[in-house]
Amino acid sequence: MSTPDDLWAQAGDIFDAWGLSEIPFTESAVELGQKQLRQLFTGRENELRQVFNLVRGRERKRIFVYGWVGIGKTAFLREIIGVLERKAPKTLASYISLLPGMDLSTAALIGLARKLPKDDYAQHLLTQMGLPASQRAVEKKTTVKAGLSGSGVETTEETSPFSRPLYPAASFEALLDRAYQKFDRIVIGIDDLEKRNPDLIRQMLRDEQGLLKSNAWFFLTGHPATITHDILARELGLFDLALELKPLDQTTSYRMLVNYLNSVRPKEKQRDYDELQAVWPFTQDTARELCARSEGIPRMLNRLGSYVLLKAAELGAPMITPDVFQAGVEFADQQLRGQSGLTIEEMYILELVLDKGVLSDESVTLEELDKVRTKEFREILPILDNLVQRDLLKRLPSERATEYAPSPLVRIPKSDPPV
Amino acid sequence: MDDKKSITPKQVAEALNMYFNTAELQSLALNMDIPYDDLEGISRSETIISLVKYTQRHGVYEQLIKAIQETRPYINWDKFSQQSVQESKPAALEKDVTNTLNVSSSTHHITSDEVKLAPSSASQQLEDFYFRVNRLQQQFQEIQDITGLNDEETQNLLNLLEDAPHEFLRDLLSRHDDPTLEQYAQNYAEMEHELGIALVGQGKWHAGLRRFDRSLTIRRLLDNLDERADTIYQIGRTYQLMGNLAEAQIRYRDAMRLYQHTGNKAGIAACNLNLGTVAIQLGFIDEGIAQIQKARLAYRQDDNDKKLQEIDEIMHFVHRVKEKERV
Ligand SMILES: Nc1ncnc2c1ncn2[C@@H]1O[C@H](COP(=O)(O)OP(=O)(O)OP(=O)(O)O)[C@@H](O)[C@H]1O
Ligand SMILES: [Mg+2]
Repeated sequence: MSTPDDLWAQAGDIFDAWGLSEIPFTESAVELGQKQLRQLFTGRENELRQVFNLVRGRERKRIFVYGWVGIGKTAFLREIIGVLERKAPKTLASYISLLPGMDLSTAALIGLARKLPKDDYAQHLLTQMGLPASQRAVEKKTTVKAGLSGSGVETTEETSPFSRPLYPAASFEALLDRAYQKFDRIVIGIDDLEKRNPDLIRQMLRDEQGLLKSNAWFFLTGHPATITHDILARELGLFDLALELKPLDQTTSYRMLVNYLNSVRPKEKQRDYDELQAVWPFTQDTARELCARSEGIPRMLNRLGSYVLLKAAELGAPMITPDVFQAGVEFADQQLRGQSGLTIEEMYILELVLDKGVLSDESVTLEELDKVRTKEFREILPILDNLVQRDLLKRLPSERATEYAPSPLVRIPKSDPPV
Repeated sequence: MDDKKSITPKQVAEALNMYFNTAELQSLALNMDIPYDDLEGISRSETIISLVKYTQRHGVYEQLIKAIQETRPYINWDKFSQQSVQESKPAALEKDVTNTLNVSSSTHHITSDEVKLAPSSASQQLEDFYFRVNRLQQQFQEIQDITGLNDEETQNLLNLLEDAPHEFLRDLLSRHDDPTLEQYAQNYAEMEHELGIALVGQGKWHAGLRRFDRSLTIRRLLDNLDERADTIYQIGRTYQLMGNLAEAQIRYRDAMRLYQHTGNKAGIAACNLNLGTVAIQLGFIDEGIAQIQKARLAYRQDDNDKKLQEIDEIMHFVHRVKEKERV
């Protein structure tokens, strides 16, 4: 029999055998610190080059970055903001995520004000909105103890019932003028436009052209479905560059894996891409398998990698052999499908997609829709998108139809062999 | 016919005032080709009187009565002659608000048990509810000086009230099998649908979508799949006009599936045509052309010259674009 103390030690043993201090993978780039991100960020050289070429010009620009869920929009945007902060002279660069109920002007205002800790007006605006003043923003997160028993479980909650300023666009303009006394260039990155309803976004972009044409640089991110290329480029002429983030190629995925593993290795043990041991405890085969299964989507690689390592730790496996990897894949499938909180409808629809392989609004039949108690594909769209958010499905990048397939993390049940 | 003659202009005006909200009045006028916006009168009741007078002058008074009876079959006309409509008084307002809002708990209205036992009273409930809400709407407008609300605030309140009967109807429909209620719902959904088309025609896309959405939520509860598909098609069309092609495409395909199920040839052809133009707008030219050809075939069988000509114009344009691309 092992005592909990023994178990803890054993778990440590496995990580020692792997040469890793912990599991390096994360689901979202929001969780990463600027330093970590700098170490982990891989690839996207062409996209970065395009952006930096534009930024080097004098004229201010508006740039839209788009790509599917988990493709790396947040990571890309934060990396750009980070590079500008580090390297570009007299540049203020700020990242902010568009929260539900927030308009673009308010987001821009908050983003800017947070970067002006010594400006009284900026800090006054933040306080007025019920937001913590700059610098202390992170420390001021309220920590709530869950449960009465003092179980030790602490959850951090960001309670931000901010109140919208009366004239956010005007306040932003005023603050911008003040900021330009100190800086030559002001860049605001607003993330997560896609988390909002597409019609609202269109409306917002129309209503807030004034803001977008103000004297600041803007980066916005969204999904391709939210704001399609043609609207961006032709109809509104609002953006100078619309940049699509595509899935990474296998070599880049592989390098990304190496970077993640290196980030939890001691300095002297860090490896170069071309060393065979670079992906240890993965073998060359299982590392390539991990990359292939993730289909070039960084979030998938992170999630699957994390499940595989968790399973391997449970099995006490000193090396990720193909068998261990397979066990990890099954574990991922099990965990994802067993997710609590799936509604009956979500389960029905998940089954339908698993059954069909691809569910498309073009080919779905009325009988199939009837089975999920509707007659319109449009009615199940929100449920499908929910399943994408939970990494159970993926949206296929076709414009010709609205199509969904099981995510690489979910195994498709094997169909009966053809007779 | 006899009872129609016995309905006086005063009764008609009162019925309109009681049972129709402003949007519905607009729709009614629109269906009868009456220029509602040009009617004289500042207040609602003045406009209604102008409306009735207009129908008398243009010889469509009987038609107006018929339209009212069709959309509101439950109206008890005698009520108006026996007791004239009470002038609204601010003091009565509070009571009305309570009554209206408590409609599901107050005894002489519904409790959920009652509903199950006596489904035939559903249309009666709706009538009562409508009556109250419209009176409230009217009162809100009339007592604006007392409430101290500005125009926008009053309008917001009125809009909220306007949604109330809609939600109530939806709720009743999903719980009852009542032919009168269904008839009413059908007319109501059609009216919203028509109003949507008119608004979109004026370029008021969002307002139009709001109407279609109301029509669709009701039509989803009714059995007529063709009508449901019609509304979905119109939503698709509106999104196409707005440039939201992804949404348009989804709606057209939803409508198409329903039309195919009912065997509605005209509906299928219309969907094929618009799906074709969406595909072309998205840059899938050949697929688009193929889909438009399907529509052309159907229209040719029907000798629908107008549509055929429209298609010719589109094709002409598409071919010119293709030529240019080749160069
Ligand atoms: N170029 C990259 N290099 C290294 N890691 C990356 C890269 N791109 C993304 N990641 C990682 O992949 C995960 C998902 O990325 P991210 O959160 O940026 O996706 P997203 O597109 O913003 O997703 P969502 O649509 O949910 O907002 C994160 O853990 C992130 O750190
Ligand atoms: Mg993101």
